[in-house]
Amino acid sequence: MPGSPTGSPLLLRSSLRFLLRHRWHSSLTLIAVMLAVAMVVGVDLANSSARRAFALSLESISGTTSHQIIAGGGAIDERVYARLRSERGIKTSLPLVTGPVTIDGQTFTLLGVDPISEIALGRHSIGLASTGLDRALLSDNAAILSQRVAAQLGLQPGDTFTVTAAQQQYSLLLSGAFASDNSAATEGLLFVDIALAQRLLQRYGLLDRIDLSLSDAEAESLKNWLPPGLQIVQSEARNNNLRQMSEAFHINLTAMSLLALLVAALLIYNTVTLSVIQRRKTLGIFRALGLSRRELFSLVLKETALLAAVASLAGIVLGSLLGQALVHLVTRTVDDLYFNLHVSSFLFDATSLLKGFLLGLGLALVAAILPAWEASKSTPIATMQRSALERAHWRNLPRLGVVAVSSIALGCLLLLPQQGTLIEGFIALTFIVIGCCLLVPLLLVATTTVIMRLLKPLLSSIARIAVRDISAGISRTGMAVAALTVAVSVTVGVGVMVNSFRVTVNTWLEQYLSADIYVSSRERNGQGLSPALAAQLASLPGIASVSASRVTRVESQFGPLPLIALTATASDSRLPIKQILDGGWQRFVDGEGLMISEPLAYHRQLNPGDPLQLLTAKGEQTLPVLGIYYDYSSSVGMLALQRDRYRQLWGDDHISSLSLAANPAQDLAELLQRVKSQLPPGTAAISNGEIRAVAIAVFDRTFEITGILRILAVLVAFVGVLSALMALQLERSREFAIMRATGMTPGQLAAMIFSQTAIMGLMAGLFAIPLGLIMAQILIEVINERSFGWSILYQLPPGVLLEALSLALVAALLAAIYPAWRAATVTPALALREE
Amino acid sequence: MNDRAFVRLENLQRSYHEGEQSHPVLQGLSLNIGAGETVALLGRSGCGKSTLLNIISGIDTVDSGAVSIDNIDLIGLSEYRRTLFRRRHIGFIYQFFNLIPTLTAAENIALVLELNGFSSAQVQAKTQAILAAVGLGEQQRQFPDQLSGGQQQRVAIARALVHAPSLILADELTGNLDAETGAQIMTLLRELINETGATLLLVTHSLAVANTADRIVTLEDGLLQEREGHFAW
Repeated sequence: MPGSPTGSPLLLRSSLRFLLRHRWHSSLTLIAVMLAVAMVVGVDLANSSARRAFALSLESISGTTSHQIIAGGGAIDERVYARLRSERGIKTSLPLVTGPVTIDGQTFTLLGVDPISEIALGRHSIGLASTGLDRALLSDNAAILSQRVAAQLGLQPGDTFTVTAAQQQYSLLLSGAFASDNSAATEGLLFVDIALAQRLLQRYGLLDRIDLSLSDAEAESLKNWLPPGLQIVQSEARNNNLRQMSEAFHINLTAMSLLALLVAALLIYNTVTLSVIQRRKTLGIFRALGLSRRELFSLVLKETALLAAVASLAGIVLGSLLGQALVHLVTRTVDDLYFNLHVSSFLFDATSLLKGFLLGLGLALVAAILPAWEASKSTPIATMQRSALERAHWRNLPRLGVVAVSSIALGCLLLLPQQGTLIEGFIALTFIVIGCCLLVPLLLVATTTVIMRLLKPLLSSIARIAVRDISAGISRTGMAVAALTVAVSVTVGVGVMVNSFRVTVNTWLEQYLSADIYVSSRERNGQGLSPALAAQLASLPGIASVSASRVTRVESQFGPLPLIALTATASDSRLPIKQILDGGWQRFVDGEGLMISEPLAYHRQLNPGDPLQLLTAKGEQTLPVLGIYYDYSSSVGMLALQRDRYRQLWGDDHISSLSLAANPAQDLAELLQRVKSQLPPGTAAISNGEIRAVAIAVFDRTFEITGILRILAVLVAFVGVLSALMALQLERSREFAIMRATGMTPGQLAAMIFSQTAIMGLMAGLFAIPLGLIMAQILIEVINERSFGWSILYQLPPGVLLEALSLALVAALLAAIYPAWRAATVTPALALREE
Repeated sequence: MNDRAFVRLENLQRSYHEGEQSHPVLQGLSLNIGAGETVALLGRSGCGKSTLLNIISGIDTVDSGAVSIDNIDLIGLSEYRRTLFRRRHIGFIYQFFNLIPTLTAAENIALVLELNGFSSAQVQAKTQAILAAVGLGEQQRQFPDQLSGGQQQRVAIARALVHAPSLILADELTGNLDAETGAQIMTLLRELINETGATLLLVTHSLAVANTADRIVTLEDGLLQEREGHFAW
């Protein structure tokens, strides 16, 4: 007696041969899934590279210590460190002086460390101790870099190089280069002895931070000992605050890549459905031979798994390459938007690859469930003809409509809570997109019915066949058009969102940048400009007024936050107000409280009237929030304070930038030259127009990655739709052969195929417009707000809509070329026999 | 009733519904077929012959009545059990061959053996043996569309018999072939069935084919009528 029935390898072989016989369709689907997986993997790798790089950067400068002593005024008297060791006997403490320097135009973070304590405590996990840090930093002007960075700069140990710090140039000796386990962690770092760092950064007798290895109890007891203006915080909590800043950006990129995967899933659904329909007779024979429904179901899933596994494997290889290309864009955007991230090296993360592979495979299997279930219902020996199958699909359309409407309703319900999370926002968006996508077959049937009713007398018989066949073959046409609709709607949605954002930022810049000329230090986070320069520029002919501002980072109850200290007047309109207390502006001008930017208010749930705790040089101070203003310069959020009050609380007289207003009749170009001639080295003057152009350039650069992902998503859809529509037409070879046999000319046949795909493309484009606009609305009102807290004015550029229609039409027409050519050139007798 | 009947059909009722209308196909049909017997079923197009075969093979179900094969009540089995029963005990031959287009001649035959859980060696040996028996040893690597109609039907016969089922159902197996090839196919089928001792129910339009059977029954108005001796339509 034979053994128990098991899955037959011949079944899978039969499936494989089927896929090979339909190699055009199979390989195009494969490419679409591969691209989608590549996109997910690429984005994930780039994201995780940026995240890990950031984490390593934090670790490399904060090390593995548990607590940090930070100063409200930004600097700690170094005697505190000495007292900490002598009075409190805390030997597990490490001083740090840090600041930006430039080497060959590249910005580096200078880390001034005490080599002896470093080695004793092993703060850094970058193997510094093993390089003989103490010996390497013995000489007066010694510095060390990682071997990788040294090589990039073309330096060898023993070479001297020039560093620009605090607008001065210094010659340093590269006394050693260390091999780093994590090159990403040390890429932008320059290590010197602490005394040298103080000299380079002109912070004599000052420290930026003291890192500690303490228990929580010890840290608690230290709190009361600290002099005013100093605070002890947990390293991890502080780092977490920094880490969370860019999280929304990473989530957005991931969501966008997942959208491409959703399109790929639709295409998988389409491919599997089509393969089931094409093989309905074979599946019927399998059933007659004794294959159970369950076995048939699993056969279809196995086929899909095979296809998806191959595509996903290829996808992760391509994704790794894509990730390397994207990491630069991601880190640059993080650098532009959030914090100095010198790192651009690619960190290979096997988890991302596995995740991408499983996602590709999993989603493909989910997409194949419905067609596999339909296959399992196959009646033995194809008793069900295609017309019966189509009738079954027609009967299912109302049910599909109910599912579609429920999905959309569920999505809308998820959007209702005002304070929902970003992930919930994306889940809601997915439900709405899936719902709209399921509505497409219904809309397609309705539209073709209306066309037939209204335009029938005007249509030629070929056009009539073309239109009628779309709804007659809805099981095949429905999802192909749905996939194209979703893909095109993504371009509409993202396009409208980016354009709206750009217009909003431009409008904001016009209001925010009200001065004619801006003068600032070229060094980011540097000491800034001297007050004497302000007075000197104010005395220049043609200058009406000079206003100084200081941009810095202050410690708050929410961690470090950017603060702008500006000289505001009662008539000032530099801060575009969104919400303000009665008499709030005057109180702000008087220095009674703060204005906070919109993202900060959103993320921290702050309203006018709420108190905000700040660590100042005079200890902890609580200031009221007087109002909320529109600001697009920082997605983290920003504080604004009257400059006099800032100077009083932080004792910081430095100036980051000067805003110069010109006299009304003054020639601005001439004035700009005059101002430039007065500036010391390391200082730049820029006109209002230039600064706006630079800001918009940064904005465009920030969205470069979004643009690339958008193109990739369209590419996925393009290839997929090409495959779906092409398969759709190729599947009808026999029908075409009959038409040819009954007298239709090759030209007429080609015209019919072209007009049919053109109608489908046009409809996809038309359906994509409302869906894209809804998507844009959700991206602007929900996703953007939950990610960044920015208000964006909805702008509808007409070009985007035209682009959507053209894109869908071109994709559809391209898909028609091969089938039209084949149908027109094939010998009818041969096509009839092949069937 | 004959308790020794291998196939027992009792009072079968089957109607097809189209909207409000009902079209009765089988109206209280009964039939017993003994083990190893060959019965030919004649009837006009659309009289329900194929429906009857589908019911016996468990592909279709009845509105009422009983179907048992080798004393196993087919109607009482679940759809899954019926499938397994069909896989093991029934061989089906069709007018339009119904071979899997993506499998070669040998693979089409081997598939049934694999489904029934035979070992690879058994699959190989049995496939080769039956291919030789149907005279297709040379064509075993060819796909169905590379074979003539007669060759395709030989593969279909080999596929139906290779796992030694106890019941063979043949639906117009010569209907798509010329007279000479049809006669060859019938001879081949009879020879193979004589070797295995399987029961054969043959649906046909051809009197020549029907007259090779042990018994002839006709299906008319949903009922069967037994015909004695050779039959003329």
